[in-house]
Amino acid sequence: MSERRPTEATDEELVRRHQQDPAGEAGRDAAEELFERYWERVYLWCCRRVGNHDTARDLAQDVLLSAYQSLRAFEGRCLYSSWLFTIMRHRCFRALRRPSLVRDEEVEIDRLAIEATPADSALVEQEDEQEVLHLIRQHLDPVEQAALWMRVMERLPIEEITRRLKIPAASGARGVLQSGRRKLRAALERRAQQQGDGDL
Amino acid sequence: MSQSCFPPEEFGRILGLPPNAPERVHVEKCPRCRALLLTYQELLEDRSVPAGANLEDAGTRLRAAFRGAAAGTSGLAPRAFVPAGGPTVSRLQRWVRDLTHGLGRLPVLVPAAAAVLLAIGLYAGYQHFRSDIGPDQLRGTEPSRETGSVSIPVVEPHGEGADGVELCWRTVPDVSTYQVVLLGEDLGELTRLPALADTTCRVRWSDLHPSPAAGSVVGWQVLGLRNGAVVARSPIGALRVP
Repeated sequence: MSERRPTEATDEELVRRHQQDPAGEAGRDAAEELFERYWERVYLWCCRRVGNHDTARDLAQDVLLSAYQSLRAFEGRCLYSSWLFTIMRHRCFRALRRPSLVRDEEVEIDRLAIEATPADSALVEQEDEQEVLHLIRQHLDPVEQAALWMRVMERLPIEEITRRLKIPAASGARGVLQSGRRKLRAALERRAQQQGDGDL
Repeated sequence: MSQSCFPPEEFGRILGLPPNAPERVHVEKCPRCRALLLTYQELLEDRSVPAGANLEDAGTRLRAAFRGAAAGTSGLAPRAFVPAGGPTVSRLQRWVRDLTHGLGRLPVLVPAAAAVLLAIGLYAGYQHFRSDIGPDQLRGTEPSRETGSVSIPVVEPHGEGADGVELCWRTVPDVSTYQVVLLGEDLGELTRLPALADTTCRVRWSDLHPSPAAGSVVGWQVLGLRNGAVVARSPIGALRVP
């Protein structure tokens, strides 16, 4: 299977070929070529998120076979790669717990205990992306915003965030995330106080 | 997420736009869309190999799984659970499917019958584990005829509380780690817990997303792994969520 030479066809052409004749040789070859183009990328992407080979391989298999089995139904309203990305992201995140927006043991490893405030608890349970986005946009600088979003919503490991955002400081994304979270906590406390004053 | 934010499937198109296109300008300013674009680009461009990755093994096994799926024989997939896109197929489901295949198409009755049989199976499993067989009563010691792999003997779950339950099983020769898989009422995989060398594992309901409803039944199975491959598995048990 790996001996077949790759063609110059775009992903979308391969999808079309498969859809025209899924069980025929051309259709099977097209699906196989798509698989060969993406299996390594999907596996590596998952591996960076979950940090171990077995889970990453299982996730990648899950993603690639789901994509293959749904290929006939793919309507082509977006690129194949972004369709695959959507499936992969969904499956991978389902297997990972989202880090808290305000507390992250991996980031704040040097702190013995971090006391949670009522505002923290409310935010930790906050699932509304719009509210989260509004808060971080209001109070954090652009690098902190990007780092926090990548950590919390995209589940990227800290080293990856450092690399992707090209953060030069010695503490890398860890320092940026700590600073962003500090600002966010302060803002939350202020907001909670204001709400308390308003209630009086 | 603001109204001008884009869903993940849009990022292929957006990446092809010039930097001054309104969509690209939004992405540059929005932390949510910027993070999404970066992770999409990561899929396309980043071939760096993280620590712990094993490309050779991944390639071999993924190709084998793909070949199995392409040949229409999902049983060739070298692991216990089939893709989460489709439900896990139990022996009972396979039996129902094979039986109905020969009987022709009965579009309404067959799914209903399969659902009833599945519900009975899960309930019977649950009742069996709840019965007074005692914590040391073992089940499933005979080799599994379905896969030819060894069956892992499980012990009745204990330590049930509002937050979760403790699952226990016996060691099996040639197994290096064990992994617990939790299944929904349709036997679709809910989650799989990290592999561990221990023979006990505490399942917390809060670890499941979405959290199962009170009173619902969750299936569980232990997989025995060696070099990343499943070489043993327990029978599927049932847990009632308090």
